Amino acid sequence: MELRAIHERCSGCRACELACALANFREMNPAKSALGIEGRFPAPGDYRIHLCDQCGACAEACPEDAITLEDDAYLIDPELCTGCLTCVDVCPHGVMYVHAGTETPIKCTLCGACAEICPREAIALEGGA
Amino acid sequence: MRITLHFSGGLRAVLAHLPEEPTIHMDGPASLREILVQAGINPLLVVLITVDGKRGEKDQVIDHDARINVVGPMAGG
Amino acid sequence: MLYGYAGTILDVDLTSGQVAKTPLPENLARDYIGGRGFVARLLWERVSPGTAPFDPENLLIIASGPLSGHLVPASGKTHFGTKSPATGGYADSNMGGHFGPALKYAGYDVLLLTGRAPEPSYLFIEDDTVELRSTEGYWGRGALTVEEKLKKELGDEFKTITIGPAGENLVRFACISHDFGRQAGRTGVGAVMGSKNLKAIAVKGTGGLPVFDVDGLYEKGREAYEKVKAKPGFAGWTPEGTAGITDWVNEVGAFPTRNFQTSFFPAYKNINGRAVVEHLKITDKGCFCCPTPCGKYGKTVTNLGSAYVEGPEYESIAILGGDCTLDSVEEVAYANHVCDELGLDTISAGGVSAWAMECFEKGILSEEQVGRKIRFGDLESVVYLLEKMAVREGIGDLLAEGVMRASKELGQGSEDFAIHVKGLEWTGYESRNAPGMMLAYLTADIGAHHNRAWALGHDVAGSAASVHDLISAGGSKGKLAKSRVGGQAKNVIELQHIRPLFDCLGVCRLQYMELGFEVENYEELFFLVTGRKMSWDELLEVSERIWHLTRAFSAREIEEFGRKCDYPPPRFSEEPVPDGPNEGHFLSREELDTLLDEYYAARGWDQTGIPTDETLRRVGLADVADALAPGK
Repeated sequence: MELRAIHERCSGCRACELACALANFREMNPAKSALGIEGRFPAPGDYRIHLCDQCGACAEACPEDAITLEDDAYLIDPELCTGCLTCVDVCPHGVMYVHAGTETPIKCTLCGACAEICPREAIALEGGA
Repeated sequence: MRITLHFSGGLRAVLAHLPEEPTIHMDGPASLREILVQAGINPLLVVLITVDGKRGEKDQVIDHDARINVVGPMAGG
Repeated sequence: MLYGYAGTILDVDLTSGQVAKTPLPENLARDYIGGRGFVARLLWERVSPGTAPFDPENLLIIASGPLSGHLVPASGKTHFGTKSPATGGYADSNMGGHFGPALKYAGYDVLLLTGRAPEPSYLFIEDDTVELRSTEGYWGRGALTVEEKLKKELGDEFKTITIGPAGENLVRFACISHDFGRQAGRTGVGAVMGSKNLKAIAVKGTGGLPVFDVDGLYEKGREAYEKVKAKPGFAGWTPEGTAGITDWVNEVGAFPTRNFQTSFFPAYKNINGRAVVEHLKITDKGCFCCPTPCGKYGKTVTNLGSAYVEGPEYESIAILGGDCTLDSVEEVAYANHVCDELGLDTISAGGVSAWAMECFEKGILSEEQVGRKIRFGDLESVVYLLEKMAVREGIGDLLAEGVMRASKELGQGSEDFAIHVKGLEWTGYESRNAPGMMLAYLTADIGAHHNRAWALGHDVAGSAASVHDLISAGGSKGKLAKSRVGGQAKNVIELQHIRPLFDCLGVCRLQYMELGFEVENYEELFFLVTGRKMSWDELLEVSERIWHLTRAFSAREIEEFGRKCDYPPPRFSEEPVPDGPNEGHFLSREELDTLLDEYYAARGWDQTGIPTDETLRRVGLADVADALAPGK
């Protein structure tokens, strides 16, 4: 299973950010989402969806082995995480997020809430059982 | 041709006895304008019309079975 | 506990730099809901009677609603309000985008700006941190340019509002800009911001919002998006957005053309929604949490230059297009971009330009006065006027006053075709054969604006020829019968309660108006967010209360306010429409009086157009009744 971004369909609404935070934290707070919508204005005048593609760079870099693959997603074990933020630095897509209200960085769990809510069908959850 | 029409709430607010989703039959190809007239709708009341989900123009000719969504004059502003 | 709201009013005294944070009063939330309701009530309470719009004591209020920032369709709406430099009375303007939600996540429902910063400044807000910073290098720059610079400097997560040179130069119809193409357009809110030496506000918030039933809201919020997507009109409406009604408005002869001389623009197909999509559009750009992004962001290329622009949407098509008779969508978009960068409301600036071009045609303005020849349909003329008015240079100083004041000063009959009500320029619906729409324009609280009560559909339904007449008359080439005058008040009043209610809730009304997304959904979502059970009718009662309150504010602030401020320009009574579907129609003074008589009676106002004591008390405005009582 994986998430795929169809950037040209994105209208910048960020419902995905809200749904992500609701699904993973039960909070109405897009700052706690694991994806980001970037507007590219004034030119070229579109949006980019920054998603985790489960590349595993974070897991490889984690000095505590706190990030491991479960089914198709790399997940952070909060018991092992020390908050060193090395994973945040190495993430090639900038989708490991830091928030003062969470003990570990915020990372995509491949729950699919973003794909489900997107009214533009700009995010697709593909493959899997 | 078999044409299924869906009339918006706004249109039905103005034309009180209009059903929500009637089906009409046209003998041959017809413009959207003609289809509206056949259905008893003055085309001037129609702000937006879509054919099978895509925006249509009133003088566009339809030559196949279609689903037409008709939005009446409450939309706007 | 106020669920749904951030819970705090942020008060910034720009003169001293002092910042105060006070809890959002529960009774304010209860009785006024949010957004426009907060604006109306706080203006009444906090602006001293007689304060001039550019006095430091005038307030600029920015308020979101309880649904703003939540997982509710189109919950990005932010409301602005002040005492208007254009009309001298109640002013508000609603803006899409992302600013209100950002303010809420930072912890604030309302931002109250008073005073005047000692030097050009911008307000920086990041959660608890609120500070005035210098705008060295920004003052004098365009609204879009400054947004770009601020986002580069602070980060894309910061949401900004900015003013352009027009706001800095106190142009009476200067707007506030946001998100590279959204505005709080009307009534001169940008000029008030400029009078406070405030160039911009940048906000970032990382907090969450309290929700009464967060699991229920997540479930029903998701369902709401599914319901909107399932609406038959969903796929068809979004691609063209509001530009999509251009054809229809011309077919029914309501399209502002040539300074409202007439109401049908033969070249309309060059500037309609299809033209926007085919010639300009790059992205369907929308507001926070919106499923039907109405913004059409694209690129235009003209002989004056090229530009990226969000638009043109319908109003800009009507006024920069039809009213100035620019007949290519590229040119309309370019003029739109010029307005956006200068920080000018496209509607008022376009209307002022059209007035100036008619004055020039009639010899009331000379080439020497204007600085060059100007003419309808000429992009160079329009851009020249826009650039002059934004900096009050030459003829621009007169034009920057708006058509009401400019025509009063110029005289020579130019008042007859100064198209405004109360000092606010007319918007995109020519109404000489649309008595309901006319009444809506006459009685809108901020001046000539359509968005309180879009009644045109009822008018057309009343005047459209029968189906059989239409066939014989050759379809849209037919003429419309005269719309009967009388009986419009009830519908206009209902609309004046329904439509502004969305401005209180903090969400967009387009899903309801355009797609038929039912009001029951908002009742349910309101409960899940706030924990308050309010029926739609109960919410409408709040909206009605606000309507009388805004009227009372204008009555308090504008000398001799009342019925005589509710008339349209003489053109609409003295000049029958010369051509098009509504050829020959006009509304006589007697007919206008019929409309107003009925309206005041139905409203519970006296025949001078002032809310009666009884009415004010009935809707819970006893303190307002006391303040307006004779002898006060």
